[in-house]
Amino acid sequence: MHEGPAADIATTVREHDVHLGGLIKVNPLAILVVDAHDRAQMCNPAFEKMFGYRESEIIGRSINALIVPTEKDQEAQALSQLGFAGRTADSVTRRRRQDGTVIDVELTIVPLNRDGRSIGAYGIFRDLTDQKHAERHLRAQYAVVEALAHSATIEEAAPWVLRAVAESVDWQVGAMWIVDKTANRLRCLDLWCAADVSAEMFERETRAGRFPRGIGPGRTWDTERPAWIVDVTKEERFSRRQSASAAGLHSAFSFPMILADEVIGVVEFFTSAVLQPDESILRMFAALGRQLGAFVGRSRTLEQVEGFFTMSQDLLCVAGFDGYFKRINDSWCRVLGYTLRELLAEPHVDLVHLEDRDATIAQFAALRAGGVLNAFENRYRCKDGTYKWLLWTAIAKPDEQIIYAVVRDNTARKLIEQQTQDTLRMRNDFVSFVTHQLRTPLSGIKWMLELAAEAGDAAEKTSYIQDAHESADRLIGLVNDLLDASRLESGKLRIVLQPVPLRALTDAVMDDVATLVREKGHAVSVESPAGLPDVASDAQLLRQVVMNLLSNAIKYTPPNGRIDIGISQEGRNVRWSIHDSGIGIPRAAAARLFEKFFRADNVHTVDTEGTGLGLYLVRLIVERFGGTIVCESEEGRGTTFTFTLPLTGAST
Amino acid sequence: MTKTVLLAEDDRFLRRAAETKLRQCGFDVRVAVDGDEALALAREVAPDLLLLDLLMPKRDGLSVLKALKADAATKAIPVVIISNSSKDLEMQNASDLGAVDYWIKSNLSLQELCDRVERLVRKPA
Repeated sequence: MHEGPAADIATTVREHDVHLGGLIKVNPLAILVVDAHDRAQMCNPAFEKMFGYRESEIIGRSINALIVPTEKDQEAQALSQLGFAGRTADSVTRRRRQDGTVIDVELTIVPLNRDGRSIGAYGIFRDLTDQKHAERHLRAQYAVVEALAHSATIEEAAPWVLRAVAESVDWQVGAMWIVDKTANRLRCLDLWCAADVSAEMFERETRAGRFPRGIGPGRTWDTERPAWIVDVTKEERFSRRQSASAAGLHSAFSFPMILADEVIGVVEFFTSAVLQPDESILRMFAALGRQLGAFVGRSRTLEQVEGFFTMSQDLLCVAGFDGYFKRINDSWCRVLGYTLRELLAEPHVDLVHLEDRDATIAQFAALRAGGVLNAFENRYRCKDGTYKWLLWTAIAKPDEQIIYAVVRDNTARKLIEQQTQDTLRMRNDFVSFVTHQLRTPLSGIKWMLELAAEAGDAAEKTSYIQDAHESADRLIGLVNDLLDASRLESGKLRIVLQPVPLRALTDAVMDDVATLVREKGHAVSVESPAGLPDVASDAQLLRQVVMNLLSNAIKYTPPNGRIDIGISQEGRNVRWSIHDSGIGIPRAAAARLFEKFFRADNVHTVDTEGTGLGLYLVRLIVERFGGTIVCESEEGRGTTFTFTLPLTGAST
Repeated sequence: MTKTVLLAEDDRFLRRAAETKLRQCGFDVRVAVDGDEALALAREVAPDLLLLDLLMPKRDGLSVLKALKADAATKAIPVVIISNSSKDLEMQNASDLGAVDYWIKSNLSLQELCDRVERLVRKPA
């Protein structure tokens, strides 16, 4: 019934084509002619090639049923109606080929009229597959670049990359694998699954998977090139076959992530369709694999640098030319005691010690001008108000207006330097003091012996030798004091504590100095209660203490002065004190009185024979017995020394 | 003419030894036992040489030296420091204040001491 008009259409078109020099026939665009009922009337060779049908196979058949995918049905009918209504229409859409694959096309509908009556339409198809691929490629590229730009690590980027790639090719599942060098296995970093796919088992299996080289995604690791599996559910070697089947997944492709010619990971995608290998997809993702590899390389490098930044015991910072820290590591907080926020909130020079501030400002100005900062030291105020010595090494990047600095907390070293200097100075003082003290009696001995050797008179000779002896005794006394001090200091002096009657000991010392006291005309008194208990001590050393304090009192009290000694019990201790009416001790000196070699400024006004060891030894001895010693004095008025010692049996 | 040497030394052994030897060598020796005495005697007798110890009671040697050099009447008296201290600082101070020499007692015999004094005081002015 329709054959007549249909044949007419084909004939008419062919006649036209002859007039047009075979334009339809040789046209690279696929051209189809349908009648007013959408039945194919003729097509050109380009159409046959694009859709895989021979012309004879389609003549008279409903073209929509042949090449329109179900979801495009309504759209196709609407387009046809436009053509039949005498209008030209254009659409970017999809059509199905004979083999079932769907292709992207641009379709132009041109009305076919005869005698002013619409008798059908031309359908002109342009294959958009390549263009679509290029667009898809671009879209995927852009999405991947976006994902990588916003991620610090591949772990962070993985879900975004998988999704971007999968969506761009309309695949449903993507998984990323990374090479674990220690285990020598591929480990799943992440899996992405489209919302409309239920692949729980497949996801579980994938995430838990550990594949060696050559197995599963490990095949891509091994071959180092992209791979395509048309249907994983039919692939014997695909271990996740069952779960893939349950999720309705069929085709798969994978590609390696390559860093410096080494596979560091594998990315794989799955689709619910059964698809033949698509060269354009494989090509596109070979490039993406290198891009991801490079990203991993960069992020690992960054990670390493970050690791050093975080781990460093030194204080690392990036500071702006505006004087504020931009980035600092935790060491700053640890060393200075501030929070990160506090340190970033104010110009860092505000924390610099006032005395170091000008130098710091000058150094940083030079640094900003393109210099370097090397071994510059300044002090920073800590949260607790103390200061730390910081040692700076820094370079500036004027283009970026930033300064990179490595700063060391040099406080401990400064302290050691200071202590070393103090120790050296003390040793120097010690050496020059001892030298002087030893030389004086030595000169005495030497000169007296020289005189004795030349003396003719026997009595004169004896007198010189007598003086030489006395000088020798002084020298020995000094050497003994030094030795005692040294032993007490090092704790090497072995002492057996015994009960010592302090009153009797004091009386004995009084006897020894009786001549001296008489010469100076002093009045000396000793007061103590009856039945005073013994102290736990060493009689020999304690005698030295009493002797020393008593001779000092005698020496530093002007003639005809008063010296009062009092002994009393105070709880579990015995208290011994000596008060003189002597020259007293300046306040500043009192504090240092018991230091080694310390001599108050005013002692030279009366005496120069002191060694500076006496009170030091007294303190060492008293402390050795578990006691204490203090001094109260008023310059010009007199001095009181008081020591306390534990009683025998009182445990210390 | 007998030369007068003022010996300022607080250590009684050293004082006795040096005084005895200098006398034996033919000097007129005057002695001071502390800084104040040294200053007073120097002004009083204007010695040909002052042998001045540093660490002395009442007034130390450098202070005596300073006072003598500040006084027109005594600034010409040659002063030699005799000390057992070999601190660089003290030697420098003595030299800066105008001491002609600095001798370390323990390194000298009495004979050397006399010889040196001899050379200094016999030197033509």
